[in-house]
Amino acid sequence: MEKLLEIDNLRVHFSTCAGEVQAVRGVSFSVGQGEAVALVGESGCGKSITALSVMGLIPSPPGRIVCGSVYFAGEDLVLKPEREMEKIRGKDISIIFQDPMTSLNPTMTAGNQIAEVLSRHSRESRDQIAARALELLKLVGISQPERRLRQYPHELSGGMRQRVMIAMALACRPRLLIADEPTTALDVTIQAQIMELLQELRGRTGTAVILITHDLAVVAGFAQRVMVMYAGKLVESGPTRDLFRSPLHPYTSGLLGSVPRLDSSGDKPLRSIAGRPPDLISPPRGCAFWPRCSMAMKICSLEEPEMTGDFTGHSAACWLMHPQAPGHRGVCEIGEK
Amino acid sequence: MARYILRRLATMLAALWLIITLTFTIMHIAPGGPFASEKKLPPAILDNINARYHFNDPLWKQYTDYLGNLLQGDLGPSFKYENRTVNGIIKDGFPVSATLGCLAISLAILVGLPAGIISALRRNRWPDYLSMFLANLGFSVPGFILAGLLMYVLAYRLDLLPPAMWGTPRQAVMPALALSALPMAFLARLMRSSMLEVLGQDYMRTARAKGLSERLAVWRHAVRNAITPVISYLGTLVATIFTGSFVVENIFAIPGLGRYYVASIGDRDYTVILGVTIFYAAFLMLMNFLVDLAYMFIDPRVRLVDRKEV
Ligand SMILES: Nc1ncnc2c1ncn2[C@@H]1O[C@H](COP(=O)(O)OP(=O)(O)OP(=O)(O)O)[C@@H](O)[C@H]1O
Ligand SMILES: [Mg+2]
Repeated sequence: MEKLLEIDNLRVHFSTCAGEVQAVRGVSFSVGQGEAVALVGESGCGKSITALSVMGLIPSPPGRIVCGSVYFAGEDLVLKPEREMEKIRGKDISIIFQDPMTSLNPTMTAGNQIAEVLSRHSRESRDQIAARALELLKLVGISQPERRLRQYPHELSGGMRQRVMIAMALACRPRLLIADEPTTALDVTIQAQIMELLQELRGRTGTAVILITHDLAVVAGFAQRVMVMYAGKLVESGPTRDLFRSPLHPYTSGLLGSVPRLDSSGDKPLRSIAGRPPDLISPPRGCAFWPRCSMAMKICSLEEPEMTGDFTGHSAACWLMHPQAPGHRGVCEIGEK
Repeated sequence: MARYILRRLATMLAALWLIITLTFTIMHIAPGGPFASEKKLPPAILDNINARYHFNDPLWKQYTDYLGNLLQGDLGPSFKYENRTVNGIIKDGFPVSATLGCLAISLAILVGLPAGIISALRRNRWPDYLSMFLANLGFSVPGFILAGLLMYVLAYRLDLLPPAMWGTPRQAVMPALALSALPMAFLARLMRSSMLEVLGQDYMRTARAKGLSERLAVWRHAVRNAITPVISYLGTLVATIFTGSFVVENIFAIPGLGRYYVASIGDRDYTVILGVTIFYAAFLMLMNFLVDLAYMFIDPRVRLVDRKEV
């Protein structure tokens, strides 16, 4: 698969009065053309900031990209001047935000908000753009699309608003779509509909998608690959099936343990990971997860584990994968002594 | 919409009636009258006056007569000036006050809003510090001190502008400046805080994510949303301007309604006080009403509250 996006050692810091928050601490991953990947992790682990770095939308100040690169179609977006980024945003890369309630402009009709992105990136006439906007609303399955065009966000339900956001994001047929918790703010029944829509549109348009979520349940049916973030770093990544079936990192196991399963009997309580994520102003030495890890060893608090993995692309950053670790997991190491 | 307008008009009329009745009552309770003076007038003359102005009628009759005349648009004669009517005074004074007021409001809007916008966009940098320093100054220096200062510097020391009176555009500069300082400062601060709030909203991030340039995002998405709360303040702004004009017109010897009004209070010219009070009340209510209509027009959330669907 040809690589569309390649993030290399990305670090993003925020200066706050309490100190320098290390929101993203050296993240590297890639997304292939048309691939659907999921980025998961607890709240505050840096998922959105990673996404905003790709868009070049880190609020600055207080944020800044300290180092690293974001290659998109072979070009480093971090180095691109703002003018060039504007041409890419909304056209080649688009993003859907979590809260459709607040992400749409309350004083602009849905139609105008969709038309705006079209007219920004194309030279079509007004009529053509209006027709395209209508077509897009039909595409995202909104009832009475002609009427919706003229309505304001507050006249639409949450699900409809998110559909408008999706229409806006897909308007210019982007090569990469980032969906940052697209369903978190919606009702459960609507959540499923929106995920179905995204799935269907992805199949139709062949757009690569990064789905950001902390809900592992929605990942399984959607993403081909999953990346797990913890405290600003990737701790595990791999094909969805492998990762769900045999998670390598105790954090991933913990996350999976906290997903409700339909087949488990109701009396079994959900496990959630004890403790809280570390303070990102002064993250702990070694593995950031060790204070919460039930399998922590001495080395975990001293030195950081590297990402190691097998040929299937399933890898994790955990000392348990080291050959000398007790109960060493039988993953064939590459580049390990 | 039509029902809303009708309801608003009805409440306005009721409020106006209340104001008329209250002012009328107060005028008649208050001791002293326009013809009370140190010199004792001969009883014959006093009788004459009382008869002429119907002071001998019972109060309720005076009241109903007044209301009746008012309904025909007649506010009665002035007590002080023999051959003038209240209507005539308003007709002479109001255009002057309105011109001055419009100048001051335009000035306040044209300078205050951009200053607020720039402040917000350059938050905590020198343009912000400068305009907020000036705004605080405009806020804390009373209009009459500013008027005196302007007069002293611009007219007396530098001889750039005529010191007072009304009629030429150059004569309008200083009073308009003095009058607009306070609302200008207020608008700048209001617009700044409103902009800051809007700039942090999620939809601004969406606008940038669409590929809009910073400038377009600010113009199309931020300013429009930030300006709505400011518009709802415009009704109050008009009132501020008119109260300010009472002072400023006196200082610059401008023959506006504010000046007549202040003079009429000193003269205990009851019909003028009463008539101009009613006129101001009606005018300000009308302004507030128009502002509310404009607000509904600009903010769809207010306009369409009952059309929400799920
Ligand atoms: N403007 C900011 N100023 C300071 N710190 C920030 C800012 N934005 C984000 N951060 C920090 O960056 C870290 C990562 O934030 P991010 O929004 O990426 O989390 P997330 O993984 O998307 O979480 P969630 O699931 O809650 O959306 C957080 O710990 C947060 O404290
Ligand atoms: Mg987030």
